[in-house]
Amino acid sequence: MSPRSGSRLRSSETPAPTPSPPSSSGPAATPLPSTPPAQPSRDELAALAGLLQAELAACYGYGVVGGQVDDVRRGRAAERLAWHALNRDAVSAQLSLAGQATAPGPAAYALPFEVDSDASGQALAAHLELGVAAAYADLVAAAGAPRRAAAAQALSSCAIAAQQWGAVVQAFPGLPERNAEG
Amino acid sequence: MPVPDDDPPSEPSRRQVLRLASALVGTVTMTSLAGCGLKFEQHPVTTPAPPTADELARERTAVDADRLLALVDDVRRLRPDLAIVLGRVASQHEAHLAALRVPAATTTPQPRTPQTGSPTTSGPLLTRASAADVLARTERMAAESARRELPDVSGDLARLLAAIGASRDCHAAAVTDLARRTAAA
Repeated sequence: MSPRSGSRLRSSETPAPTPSPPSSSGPAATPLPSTPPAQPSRDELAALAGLLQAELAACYGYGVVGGQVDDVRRGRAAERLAWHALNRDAVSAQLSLAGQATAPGPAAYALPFEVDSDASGQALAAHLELGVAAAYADLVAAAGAPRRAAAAQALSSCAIAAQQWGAVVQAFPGLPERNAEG
Repeated sequence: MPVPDDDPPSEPSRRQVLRLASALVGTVTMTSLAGCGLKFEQHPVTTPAPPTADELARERTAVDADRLLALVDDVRRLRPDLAIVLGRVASQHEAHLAALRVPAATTTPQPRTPQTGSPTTSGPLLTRASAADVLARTERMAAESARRELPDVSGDLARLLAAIGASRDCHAAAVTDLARRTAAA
């Protein structure tokens, strides 16, 4: 299956140091289980690889967000960063267990727009969450039945987070092709 | 001297002709009836194929969307101050319904299915004070119902149901948040 995800950060050609997390509060609930009960299919592995890229981009992007938003929102950004980092590691572990090589993410990503204010920081956070939501939606389609629920919960978490960052979440979060129809 | 032949074989008697005709009519009748019988057997009463897991899940999730739409209408009457958000929520439920109930030409008729413990508006009495909470709770329950369908359905439908579940969770969060802010104002 080819991932159908839409808005994600693209890796930048100019390497730059990855910003450190703005703070480190505890991770939110519903990380993916780190030990899948059965060997993932080829489609599921492709979806997991796509998800890993999305989570890596989100972790990078939240570093940028944390540097722009106000103190209250920085706390929320830190929580979401911790959540994405936890899931990034869980996905990476799943791929490793399945014998898939997992390269570290690029050192830097091209941002989709200029991020130089509290408002643009929030917009980037919403953009990141919707991008990861799409990757989780792809995983729901590809995953074996026992692993769908966790992916769907994660999709929901990203959609709610995007909304809290100010995005008007459309009728089908994570399904850009359906939202484009409407 | 030849013996006169006074009973020529080539001339069947009237009785023989009648017997032969009767036998022919009988044969034709039997054949026709047998043919009719065969014809009936060629059109057996067809029972519709049982609904698939995808069809059942679509219908159950659509029934929930119908109920949520009705509840949103009720809440909108009680909380006109939430009209903008509720209008968006209602239009998204309609979009879910459209996605779940694909045109009849491409699917078999949808059976009515038993309830799944999903949203109901017949719980607590809806008042202005409780309306937003009831709606948020019902949206969350419906989100869980959609996710409960996931193990049994096809991958593409699972993707759709997961998105609908996420959308319902977003509705719950938006309504809760807005109700809290309007109460504080």
